[in-house]
Amino acid sequence: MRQALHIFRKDVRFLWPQILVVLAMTALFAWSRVSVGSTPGWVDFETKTSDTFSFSLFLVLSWWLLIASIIYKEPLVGDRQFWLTRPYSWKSLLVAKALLILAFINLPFLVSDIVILTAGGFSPSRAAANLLGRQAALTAVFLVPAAAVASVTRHLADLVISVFLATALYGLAYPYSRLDETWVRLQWIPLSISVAILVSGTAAAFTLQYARRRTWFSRGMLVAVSGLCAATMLTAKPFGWTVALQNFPVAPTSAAQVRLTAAHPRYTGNPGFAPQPTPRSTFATEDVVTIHIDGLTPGDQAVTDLVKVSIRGSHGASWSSGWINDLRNTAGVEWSPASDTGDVSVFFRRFLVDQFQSQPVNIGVQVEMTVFHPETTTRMITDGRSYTIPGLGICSVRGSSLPFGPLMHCRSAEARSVRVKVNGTVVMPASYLPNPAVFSAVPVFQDYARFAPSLVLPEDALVVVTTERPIAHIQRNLELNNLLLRETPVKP
Amino acid sequence: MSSPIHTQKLSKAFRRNDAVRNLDLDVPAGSIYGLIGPNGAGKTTTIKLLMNILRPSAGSAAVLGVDSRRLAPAQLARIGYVSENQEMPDEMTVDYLLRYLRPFYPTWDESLANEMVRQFDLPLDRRLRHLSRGMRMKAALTSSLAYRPELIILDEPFTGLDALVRHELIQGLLERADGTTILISSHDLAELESFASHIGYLEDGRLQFHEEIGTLAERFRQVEVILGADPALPKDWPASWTQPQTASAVLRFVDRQFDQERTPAEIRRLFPGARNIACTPMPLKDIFVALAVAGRSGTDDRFLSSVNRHSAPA
Repeated sequence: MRQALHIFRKDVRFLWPQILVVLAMTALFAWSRVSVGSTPGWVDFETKTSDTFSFSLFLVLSWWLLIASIIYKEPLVGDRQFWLTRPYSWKSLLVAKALLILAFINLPFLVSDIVILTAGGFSPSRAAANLLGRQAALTAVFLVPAAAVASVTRHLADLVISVFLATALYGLAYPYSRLDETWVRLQWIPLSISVAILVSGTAAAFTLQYARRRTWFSRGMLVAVSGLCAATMLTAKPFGWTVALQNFPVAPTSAAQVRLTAAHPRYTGNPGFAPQPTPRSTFATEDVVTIHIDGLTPGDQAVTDLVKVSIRGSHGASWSSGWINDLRNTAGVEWSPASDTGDVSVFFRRFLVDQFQSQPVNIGVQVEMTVFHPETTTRMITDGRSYTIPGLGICSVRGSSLPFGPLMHCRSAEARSVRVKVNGTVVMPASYLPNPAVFSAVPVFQDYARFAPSLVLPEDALVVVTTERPIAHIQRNLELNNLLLRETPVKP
Repeated sequence: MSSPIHTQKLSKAFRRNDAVRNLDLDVPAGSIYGLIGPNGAGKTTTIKLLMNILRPSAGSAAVLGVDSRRLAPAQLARIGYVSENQEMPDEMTVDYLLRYLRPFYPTWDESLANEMVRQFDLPLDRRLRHLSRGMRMKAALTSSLAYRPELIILDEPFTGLDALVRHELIQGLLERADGTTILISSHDLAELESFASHIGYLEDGRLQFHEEIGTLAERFRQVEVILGADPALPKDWPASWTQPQTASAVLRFVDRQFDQERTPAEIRRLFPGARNIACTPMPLKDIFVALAVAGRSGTDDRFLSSVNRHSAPA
């Protein structure tokens, strides 16, 4: 440890300009966040949020610069370095570098978070879990990978190229991944797996590089880790085995009673059951089956995450959609959740209808659902007052300089993510905001000072804010036999 | 007493290029071992293998009794290393460099460091990046001798330095390295000749021979024979006579197995008309050139094998 501190002191002595840059950027970042938090109007909020983004970007760049400088003080790549032939212990060197990052990136960022929290009206001690979560996320997602990349490169240019390649890989993989939904359902699974692979793989490569200086091997490890993360994003969709990882605390009384029933199915074997065509739009030429979810404890709500539809024709032909979410069309089936009514509509594409319409078919529907239980209900008036909403934070509805009415703003310092339902929102013209509006607050990755869920509220109205927690994740199956697919008539 | 440096079939390949091949090197304790050879012979690679900067492709090296791949801080604290192409912490001043290194070495001798600073006239407040090449080498040497290492490894320390600085460095080294084992690779053969006790000649990654410098100097002679007529080289020209040159009744060659009685007798046998025979001792530089020329022309593997047979065991 003595040697580590000795190296630490030496690096501080020679890296003070880079350290000063990071400290200045962190201070600017904190100032911008505090400033956004005290901005009343929407336009100012937007402008300052944009400034905050710029400061965040500069802060990240200054971190990169400092990490590279810290590692490059005793470069690991090459065979001419002065320190290689001196009695350095690799563990001391590693500890010294880790201490520098901890002291001049983690610690200032923690202080910045505490300042932002305090300015936002929160108690830092009460938000300790969130503070630690932010530090863990920063370390896992940014600091360790950045240090690992710096340890296998020699110059800033190499580092920039490596980061560019990794970002390009991420950029290429992201559109094909399904990490675009809220965390309160299933998306946390592939994302958590990706982060776990990222942090463990890069930490292993980083440590190995310090212990052995086998640069090409370490580089290979980092490439493999990048590939594995990309593959996880692409393949570990919230299907199959990833679904099995879902581990919400199960509330059996709520989940056990849940069942699926088919609404308006047209059975060829039961002519008395009249089909009710439900066209999805004027352009729809698809058949539709509506599935009703019931049996929930009153107040609870099942939100459909994934659906899998399979069709077996009487002539042996079969088709399966695989697990799909509501954002993804497959070649044959699309579904839309109607969570408030408990109905799920499954649309069959025309080619499937054409393929199976001459024969009775058996349709299997599997549905993955998350059951939410209301936790708190708060009534707010759109008068600008602040309301403390347990589990969410401090919210208020204030007037906006824009013409479409007051906006709801929340400040949160919670560690847990929460599903928020706001009853009383206005459906804006040309927008499709439902009432109640639902959004997810994931405070660890959002701004402490403020996040605006973009809700436009009526003047002087009563707004009911309900927070909900996931309590169970369940799968239910439904078999529909002797169904005859038909093309739904197009409404004029 | 075991050798501070001992290698066994040490090899290093970079892709398909063999930089060091089956090197068996033994540096006796207390010796000053000069590792010589042309550019690209593998000297620097050998030293980097010994210092665990590079990993061997095959074979092994033991430094201070420890496998080079396992050299730990405890061993590195007993080794002084200076290389002409080593990157120094340029942002440090000479004073800070010495103060920074002090805690790394339990045997650091502050008075010795101060003495060397004075002897080399090192500007303590100057950053290393602002020092001349000679001054940088002096600073490097000071920082590598101040802890009285048991083994000093120097890789081309005199390259590009003027004669005065070379002299100062050698003086500084020799005055404080009494009894210390020194391995030094150098092109500065004239300088090496003045203080090396052993020589190893490396070419094409192979150790072609190694022996004490005294016997080496005894073995090599520049021979000049004055004949009565233009000479014609006989068919049974000895393998150890290289670089023959003839010009108007004068024959010159290098005898690499000189013997005070046998060589003149052999000349007289092959050239009965020889009028005068002059055998001049050769400086190390000329010996090195003779070996390098012979090696490059590939004229006599036979010679090298005969040299190895005659080499004194290190």
